[in-house]
Amino acid sequence: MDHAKLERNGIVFAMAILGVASIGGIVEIAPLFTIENTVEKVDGMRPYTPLELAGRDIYVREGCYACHSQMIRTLRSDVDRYGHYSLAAESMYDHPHQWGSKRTGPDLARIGNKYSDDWHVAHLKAPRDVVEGSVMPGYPFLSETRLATQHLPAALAALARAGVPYSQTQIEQAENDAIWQADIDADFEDDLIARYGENVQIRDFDGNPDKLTEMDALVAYLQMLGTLVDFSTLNPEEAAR
Amino acid sequence: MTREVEYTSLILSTGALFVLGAAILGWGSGAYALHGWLIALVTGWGLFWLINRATDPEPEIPLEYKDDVIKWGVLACFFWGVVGFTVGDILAWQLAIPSLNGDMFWSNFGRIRPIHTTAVIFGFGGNALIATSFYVVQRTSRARLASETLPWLVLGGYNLFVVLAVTGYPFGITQSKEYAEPEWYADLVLLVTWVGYLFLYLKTLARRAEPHIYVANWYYLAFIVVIAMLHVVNNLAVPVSITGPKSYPLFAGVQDAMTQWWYGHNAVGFLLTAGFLGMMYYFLPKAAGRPIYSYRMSILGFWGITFLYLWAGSHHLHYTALPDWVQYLGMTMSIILLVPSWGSVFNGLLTLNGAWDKVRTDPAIRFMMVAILFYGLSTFEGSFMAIRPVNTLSHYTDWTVGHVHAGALGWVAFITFGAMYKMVPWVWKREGVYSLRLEALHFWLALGGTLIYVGAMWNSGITQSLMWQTYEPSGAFTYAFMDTVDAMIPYYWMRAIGGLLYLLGALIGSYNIYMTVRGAPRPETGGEARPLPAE
Amino acid sequence: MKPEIDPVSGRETTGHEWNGIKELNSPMPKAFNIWLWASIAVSVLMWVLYPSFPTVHSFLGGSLGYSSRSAVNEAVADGLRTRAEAFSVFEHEDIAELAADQTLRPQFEDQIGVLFRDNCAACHGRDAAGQKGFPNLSDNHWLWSGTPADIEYTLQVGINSSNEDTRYAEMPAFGREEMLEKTEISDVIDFVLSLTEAAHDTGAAQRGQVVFADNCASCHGEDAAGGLENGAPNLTDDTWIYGGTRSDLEKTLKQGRAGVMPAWAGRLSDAEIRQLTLYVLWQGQPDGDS
Ligand code: HEC
Ligand code: HEC
Ligand code: HEC
Ligand code: HEM
Ligand code: HEM
Ligand SMILES: [Ca+2]
Ligand SMILES: [Ca+2]
Ligand SMILES: [Cu+2]
Repeated sequence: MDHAKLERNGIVFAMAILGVASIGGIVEIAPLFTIENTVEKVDGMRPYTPLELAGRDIYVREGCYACHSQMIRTLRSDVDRYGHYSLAAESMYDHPHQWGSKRTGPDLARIGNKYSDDWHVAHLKAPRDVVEGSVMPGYPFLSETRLATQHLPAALAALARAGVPYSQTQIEQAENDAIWQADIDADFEDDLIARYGENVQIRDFDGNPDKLTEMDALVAYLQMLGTLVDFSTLNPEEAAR
Repeated sequence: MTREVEYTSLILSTGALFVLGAAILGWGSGAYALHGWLIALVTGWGLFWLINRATDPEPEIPLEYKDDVIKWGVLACFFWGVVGFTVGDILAWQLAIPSLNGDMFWSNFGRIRPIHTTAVIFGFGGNALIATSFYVVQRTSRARLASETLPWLVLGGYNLFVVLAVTGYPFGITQSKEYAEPEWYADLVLLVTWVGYLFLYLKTLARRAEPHIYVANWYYLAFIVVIAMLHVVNNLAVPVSITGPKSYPLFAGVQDAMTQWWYGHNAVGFLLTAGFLGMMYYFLPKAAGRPIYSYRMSILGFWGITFLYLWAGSHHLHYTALPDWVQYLGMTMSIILLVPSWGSVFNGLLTLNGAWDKVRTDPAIRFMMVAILFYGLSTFEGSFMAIRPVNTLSHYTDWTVGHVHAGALGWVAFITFGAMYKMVPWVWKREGVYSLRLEALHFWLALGGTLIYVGAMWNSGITQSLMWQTYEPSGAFTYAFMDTVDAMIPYYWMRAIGGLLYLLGALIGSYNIYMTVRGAPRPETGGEARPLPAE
Repeated sequence: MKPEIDPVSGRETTGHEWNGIKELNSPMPKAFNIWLWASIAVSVLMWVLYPSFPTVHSFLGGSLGYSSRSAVNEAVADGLRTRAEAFSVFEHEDIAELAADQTLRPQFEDQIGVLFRDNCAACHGRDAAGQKGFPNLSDNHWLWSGTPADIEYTLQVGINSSNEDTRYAEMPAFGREEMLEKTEISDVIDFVLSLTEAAHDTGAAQRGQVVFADNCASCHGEDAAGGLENGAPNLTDDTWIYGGTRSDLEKTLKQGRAGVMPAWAGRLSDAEIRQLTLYVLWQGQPDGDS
């Protein structure tokens, strides 16, 4: 085509740009929704409980992703240090993903159950008090701030609209579920397990049973990271793609 | 389009944003409600101004370029530049001396990092692009901007977006999508503004007296069009409710990651690259008084970048849960991408043929020449890092940060400073820059700062990734993660010091620009460039 | 418009001009074209060899049959084999014998130390000396016997952890659960303080001794020296997990304690757990060189 002609019409030029520039995205993004093994079939994945979701929102709010990845790459040194490489399925309910682009601190994809709640609370309040030489900021205010729960039903509903399979009951009970998950004495374990499955961790997370704090939520989130998928059911042949 | 239609659509879109602001201030609370007030006040003022002008009799449009709005763009550019560099250096010091985080809820590293990136990319870079694009499109079209009102709304709306963004982060208002952190309502403000920008640009081009559209405008146009596309797709989200700022992006996991980096890489490609190439294609030949080296190279460079960049985003996701086929496409396209990128480098450098002496005498040209070198360096580096095995050394480490700042400090900011030192005297009709010596001092501080910054990060990045991957012959790791954190500290200090030099240079530059503006106007010669009358 | 010639380069311009800016009509340098086509050729080759373009429900897999995931599985397995060989001594059946072997420490301590710093140092400190809330592992005081086999088991299942077989050890919340009166608590604290000859009120300590015998001795032992292998620490040795000041003790007695040591089975291999067990034991022995 004669480029000189194109240079004579701004609108045509703009359309040409749009046309040429859309190709890459269409070829690389659209098939991720249609090719089946893009997101592996695995056992154990479930949507976040309301308390975990609230914790995840705090993780996003504080910008932890600026220093922590949640993506164990298919590299020997990543797998040896952090565990099984991350599956796409493990972030299938992550709106948005938290894979991160910088590892100023360690990867957190499988941090769940690696440490105790007490350690997390102490560490988040004052990292250098427990880890000599850490460059992580302290978040002491999380222990003092009561967790806001009233928006949780709307939050689950919004995620349901984006495709997360939350049931109507889960949405309606979101506020209670958040409160009960951090309170072992509330005796609603059966309800929570019925709604979210066996691997929900139910206890007071922040060491202060009298209060439901943001620390409860964040620690509940950290303690479930990487604990859901049952890797024994993963077929390595199918997963290779 | 008639005056009525223009005013009606402007009033309707400004009005829509006003309603958005009013709804937010009505239902929201805290920082979010303040954002509602901000949107409502700014758009309310805009509405008032628009209605006033609409009802006034049509003013006489002078036969000269519309430069008043450019002046405000320059001001905004320097303002956000200083804010962004300052916050960047604070971040750098926070890593060197972690207690500087202060443990306040608003001041920690994670919350203020996006203030830095937004202030420099959108505040500093974006305003530089808007201001220079307004300047360039008029000169190269010999036409006045196609509207008397729209340029103000574009600049105002855009800066409203930047203010909403950076004031939201300390209060935790963020989507966490890098370089697209602002929440849905700020995204809407930008969208409306951007449609206006595109429209204004196309309409001004349509008025041009030159038969052909100049290369610089191809790039500015690509910047506007592609950013619009990226912005819309990457920011698709479901708001939780009008009572709070929170929304959940529409896509999840692997699809979200790919969309995000398709966006992220091309925010680099079309904001930090294409837009600034547009700037280079005007200010460099203009300042050097030399023709562009090769028209054909311009064409190859332009379409190469426009096509290939959009494929390259997956190089941010090497070895992740993104399927291999996308990673290989991203890697190979990134390799080819180097050719058109260096096409622009050669086109720029060879344009200086016959004017090399000016590199020594004119610091502005020196800024631009070094900018091109850094552009060449960072694109080479980028294509290199996009190769999967190389990426295992750079990903997640400071090498990436070093690459970013070779591009950002060395290319984006250098070309901006060079262009501004030229454009400011031209727009304000001054004899020249207030002080060439201060300009040169700025240059050397900026160059020194950049080299220290980038050098430190290359070292720290490669050191860290090598430490992560080093095994004993027995197959056990040689270093624990914390050993690598310890090893970073000296580099963090170096980076913070380099950043301080850079900031110092920018402050001197701002002072120089300020004194230039305050100086005496140059006497009219009667030979000033003017637009041709619109028919 | 007729193209003019640029006097410096001698090249033709394109004949256009924008506010004084012109363009030369220089041809693309040959080297550039070669480079462009060479990069395209390399890319096409990669597309043939490796996974590349998508189809609607699948993608071109590449002729090498490469997959990152298969590749990393192999690399990790290789590494495991290397380690199994290098650390094969640790597979010896009797861990007590290993613990007695003086030659292992100089050879392996540094390497296992990395594993310790990546997994254990967050709680027990880089030097294994512990910190408030997390016991010192280098002082030869043990909550659970301290035999190599017992330590290994502790690492496997953890203490108060989420593991099914976890060791379980809880210090009751005498205050919050109202098992003791305020005065009784205060008295027994004086008694505990007296055990390490810290400042205390002798009268109160005497009253406290009775409280102790009735409520505490079952776990901490008649002599308060622990050692019953139920996780209850020795209270006479002046080493504390949670601190030995009056206010620390108050907190311990009011709120109770149930420190969590995570279970490492599943996260670390049996071999690694065994190595760490020996590493922990070495930290309490004097001849350390690091
Ligand atoms: C300035 C960078 C930075 C930020 C921001 C940051 N961290 Fe960290 N983080 C680190 C570093 C460095 C370490 C390693 C040293 C340590 O354990 O403190 C770390 C360690 C951790 C660990 C322990 C990981 C392990 O395997 O030992 C957790 C959990 C953690 N961070 C959670 C968070 C959370 C949650 C946030 C946000 C609320 C956060 N971090 C924000 C830098 C950061
Ligand atoms: C989350 C923090 C944490 C981490 C990480 C941790 N520990 Fe512990 N560990 C503890 C606590 C707390 C106890 C004491 C439990 C109690 O108070 O009953 C303990 C107890 C122990 C004991 C028993 C001490 C005794 O006296 O019987 C050993 C041995 C031990 N840890 C070794 C390790 C090793 C080795 C690792 C790393 C693989 C490790 N720990 C990681 C918190 C931790
Ligand atoms: C059911 C068994 C049990 C009884 C009864 C009991 N303790 Fe304990 N005690 C423990 C255990 C287990 C721990 C260790 C908890 C931990 O490490 O998290 C402990 C820890 C302590 C500590 C903290 C030691 C340190 O190093 O910080 C003190 C002090 C203590 N007990 C005193 C008492 C006193 C005084 C009483 C009686 C009023 C008592 N205990 C009754 C089991 C018991
Ligand atoms: C005084 C000058 C500057 C200093 C001291 C500085 C410092 C920093 C620091 C400390 C970070 C965080 C790195 C990390 O997370 O480890 C950062 C990130 C970033 N900065 Fe700057 N910066 C400066 C100027 C600029 C400019 C001019 C731009 C762009 C035009 C820029 C763009 C960015 C970007 C895009 C990131 C994110 C990088 C990534 O995610 O990998 N910076 N900067
Ligand atoms: C040919 C051109 C370029 C290529 C192929 C390229 C490639 C890359 C690669 C491979 C990464 C690392 C991704 C990762 O491992 O996480 C990266 C990061 C980055 N590059 Fe470039 N780059 C190019 C030019 C530029 C230029 C000119 C800039 C200008 C400022 C720039 C800005 C950035 C930024 C901001 C990031 C960091 C993204 C993040 O992680 O937050 N790049 N680039
Ligand atoms: Ca609580
Ligand atoms: Ca956004
Ligand atoms: Cu990129």
